[in-house]
Amino acid sequence: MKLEGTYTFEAPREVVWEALLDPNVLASVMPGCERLEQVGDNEYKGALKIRVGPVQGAFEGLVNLSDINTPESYRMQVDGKGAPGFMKGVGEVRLEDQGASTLMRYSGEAQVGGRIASVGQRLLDSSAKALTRQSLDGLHEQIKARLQANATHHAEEALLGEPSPPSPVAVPSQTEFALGVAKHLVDDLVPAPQRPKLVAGALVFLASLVVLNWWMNAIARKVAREVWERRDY
Amino acid sequence: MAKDVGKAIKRVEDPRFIQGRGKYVANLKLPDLVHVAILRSPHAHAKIKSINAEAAKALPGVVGVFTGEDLKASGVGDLPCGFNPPGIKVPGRPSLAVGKVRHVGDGVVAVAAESPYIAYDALGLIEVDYEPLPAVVGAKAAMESSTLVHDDLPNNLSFTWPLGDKEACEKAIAEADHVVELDLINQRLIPNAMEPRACAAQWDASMEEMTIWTTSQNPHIIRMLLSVATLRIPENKLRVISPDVGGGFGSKIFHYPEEVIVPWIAQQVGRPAKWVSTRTEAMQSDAHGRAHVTHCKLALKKDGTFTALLVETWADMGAYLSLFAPMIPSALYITLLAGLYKTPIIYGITYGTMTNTVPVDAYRGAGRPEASYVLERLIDVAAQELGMDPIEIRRKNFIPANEFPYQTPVALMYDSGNYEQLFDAAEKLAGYKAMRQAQAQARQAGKLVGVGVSGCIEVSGPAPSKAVVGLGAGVGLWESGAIRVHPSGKVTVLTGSHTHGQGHETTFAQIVADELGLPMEDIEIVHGDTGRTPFGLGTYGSRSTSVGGSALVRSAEKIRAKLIKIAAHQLEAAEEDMVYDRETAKIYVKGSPDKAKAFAELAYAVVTADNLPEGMEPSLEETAFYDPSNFTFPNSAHIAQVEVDRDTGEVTIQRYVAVDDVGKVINPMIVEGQIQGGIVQGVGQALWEHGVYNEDGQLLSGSLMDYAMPRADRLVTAEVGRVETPSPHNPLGVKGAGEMGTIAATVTVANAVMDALAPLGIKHLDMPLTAEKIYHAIKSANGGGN
Repeated sequence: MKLEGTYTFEAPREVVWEALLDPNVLASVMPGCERLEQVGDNEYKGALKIRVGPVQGAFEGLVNLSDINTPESYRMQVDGKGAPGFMKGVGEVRLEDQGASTLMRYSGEAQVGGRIASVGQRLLDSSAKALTRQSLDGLHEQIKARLQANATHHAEEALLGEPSPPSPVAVPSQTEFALGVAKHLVDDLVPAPQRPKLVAGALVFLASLVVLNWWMNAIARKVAREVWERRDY
Repeated sequence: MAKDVGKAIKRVEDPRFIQGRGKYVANLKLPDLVHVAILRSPHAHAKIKSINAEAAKALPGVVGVFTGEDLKASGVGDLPCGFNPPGIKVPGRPSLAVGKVRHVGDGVVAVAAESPYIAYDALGLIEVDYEPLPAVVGAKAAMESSTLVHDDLPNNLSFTWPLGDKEACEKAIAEADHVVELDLINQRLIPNAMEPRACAAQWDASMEEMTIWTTSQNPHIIRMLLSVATLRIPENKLRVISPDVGGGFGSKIFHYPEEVIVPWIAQQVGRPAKWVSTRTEAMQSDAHGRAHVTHCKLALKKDGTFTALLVETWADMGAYLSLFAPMIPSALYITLLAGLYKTPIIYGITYGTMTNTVPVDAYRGAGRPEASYVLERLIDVAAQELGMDPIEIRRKNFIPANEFPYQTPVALMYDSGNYEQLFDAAEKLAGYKAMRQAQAQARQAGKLVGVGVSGCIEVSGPAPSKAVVGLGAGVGLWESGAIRVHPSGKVTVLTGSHTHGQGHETTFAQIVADELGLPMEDIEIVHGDTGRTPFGLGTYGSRSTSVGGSALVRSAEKIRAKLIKIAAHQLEAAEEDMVYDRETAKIYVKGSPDKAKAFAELAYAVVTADNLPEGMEPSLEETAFYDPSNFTFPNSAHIAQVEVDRDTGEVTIQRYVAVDDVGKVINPMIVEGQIQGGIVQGVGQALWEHGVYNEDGQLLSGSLMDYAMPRADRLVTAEVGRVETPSPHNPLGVKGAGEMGTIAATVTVANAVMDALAPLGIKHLDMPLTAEKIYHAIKSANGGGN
């Protein structure tokens, strides 16, 4: 699986860089991220709950940063495993100054195995794209909030001499994440010129399918459990 | 004359299946049961550096956690390979991986727990530290790979199986007027029996006896292997029961790891144990089918006469040799390459290679669909290149009806057949000429309509024991049948065959009812229990009726002979003057039917035993063991008409016509069901099914969302016709009907789709012929436009 893209932050490069290396910030913006903590020099340990199609489960992962070139670029190695399988990846993040804003280029390649590969394969790319995109959107919000808070903070500090807590940013819900996956699926399946005609309808359709799927799964699980319990032991 | 044989009698087993009363391993209730779940490798190829199961062991409700090392330490043996041609290298195959995993789904740790939920939760707590290794993927690529799946198999090559005179073949090809050459892939299939595999076991510590319930097509073979190879419990202390089994298609023939793990755990923990596969597990651990890469050449004269055939195949065996795996792409494949034709020179060679994928073994048709695909694709391309009609070119090369028995150049001796008559019937049923005219008109109108034809041979009813053991099989393939007449005149029939959807309880009852003149209701068929039935070889290769049914005919003959003796004694007449009326089960002296002895009357006379001929043993129980003198050779002519949507590449099957010669038919409804169902499976391979691995050895089609099974809305009901040339060497004249549909349908539909695409200049596409593949082929045939 390959992942590649760019993202523009309306913030100076140093601020983006700082946020990118702050595990608390990253944990708060990644859908499904339950924990991310620094365990060594440039080494982070995390737990991610993920859902790709019908595959769901928790991943425990180790993230290692290398070739750190502050505040421009670093390489990243991810090694995760859990009940749904494993994932190994390498990636590179590069930040470019663009006046008041910052352009991020990211690229990476991941290997996945186990159930997550054999069952969710077709949804994997779209899920990864959605996860990345939404994490970056969240990060952007966080950075903006930080900047805002800092500005206020400086003013307040002058007045009160006391810092205020950073404003909270909502992590995308499962439904929002599903909508993101649906959007990327449409992007993958429908050629660009035809997209505007189709996209709205398809999005609504796919999203309702995804929601329906969860709902049906919940019912199916309930029924399955009852059947299991009734049939033996 | 026959009372029941030949009649479309409804299946007597169906009421219990459709009313949810079937008795499957998964619903078996055993007291104090522990549930087993298996942690499977997510890696295609990796060293196991360590296993930490402390957290799993500590989970409340977990009874035990076991690894391959534990099994090995207690003396459990490797799973064996049961077909070993000369020179084969058989890699070791433990029931749980030891040191290394070799495919995604390879079992690593087994957990026993109080409930299946706890067992699955415990799997999530086990930490296995893997060191991933490069994966070997692809049958042909395996031989060039620098990575070895097994260190003791250089070039990842397990065996080579050549047959025929290579030099003569190459010479004939070099001198031919015309040569057709193709590179074909017969894609990997994943069998999906409705009932996933399951195994349960109970250890009786007082008697030191083990009872195992398993979803097997051949419980006696499993018992034998458990005893001599894996679990090593003496055969007389081991009982294997296969109750109702919901489909097998070959995938339930083999001795699987779970059949070792579950009874071993039952013994270790002193409680009954059970494992039921999930669908995801099934796709990663049930033996797969097909998976061939083939290069082939057919040489012809200008007039379409075949002069030589050369076939080279690389057969993907997967990570280990499953029980009969090496037999499929060799003895059941290369020997079939003569088809219905008089090709004078045939040379075939198969390389069986190891890869980091699920083991591949017999799947409905097993070797024969692969052979038919090669031969019938070549013939269609030849017809196209020579400008001949595909039926015309086939007719030109048929083995004539007056040349049977016919010795092919590839070992087999065909027993009977009339291929002209077969194709006459198929052409007539299809309205072939009109079909071609309609196709021409549709083409004029810009539609992509195709007509596909195939003529297939099957070798079934395995087998003469001498022949298969000579080829490398570890068992003969005879069959047992026993008839036990109770004092009341009711009859229990014991067969070594196993029914898992074929309807033996009906077919066999029809046979015995006719042989003895009894109503079918008086006959109970018992199968699938080594504690009740005599040793038998089970059900696969369309063998049950021709071999197992013949054994029953033989034991019925013995019962009749004994009854005649008793009746003659009681009526004070000579044996040769007696008549056994097979309509009514009455025995009388010729000319005096009024003074007849009834079946039940004589059955009771055996119990009182006061008026039996001198020296006769008081029993009415006979067993016969039937070893066929040859295989049987069912054959078929199938014709399909398809339309390909020019814009989407979607294939619609418009008509499907099947005329089969399966010899004598016992129950035409069951035979038609087999043919229809077989066709569906064949169409599945032609159009949709594909077990896909990526270059890392990850199974990408590991669920029914990703692996496309045939669905009713995409199919048509086949128009089924029949030609009957009885097999001359079994007492029933039957040939076997279980696999013909699948063998023929795959290539028939593939030929039809390729015929539809022929006007675009597309010569060959590999299966599955999905809309996506065809869409892209049409696009590039049109020079990238559409």
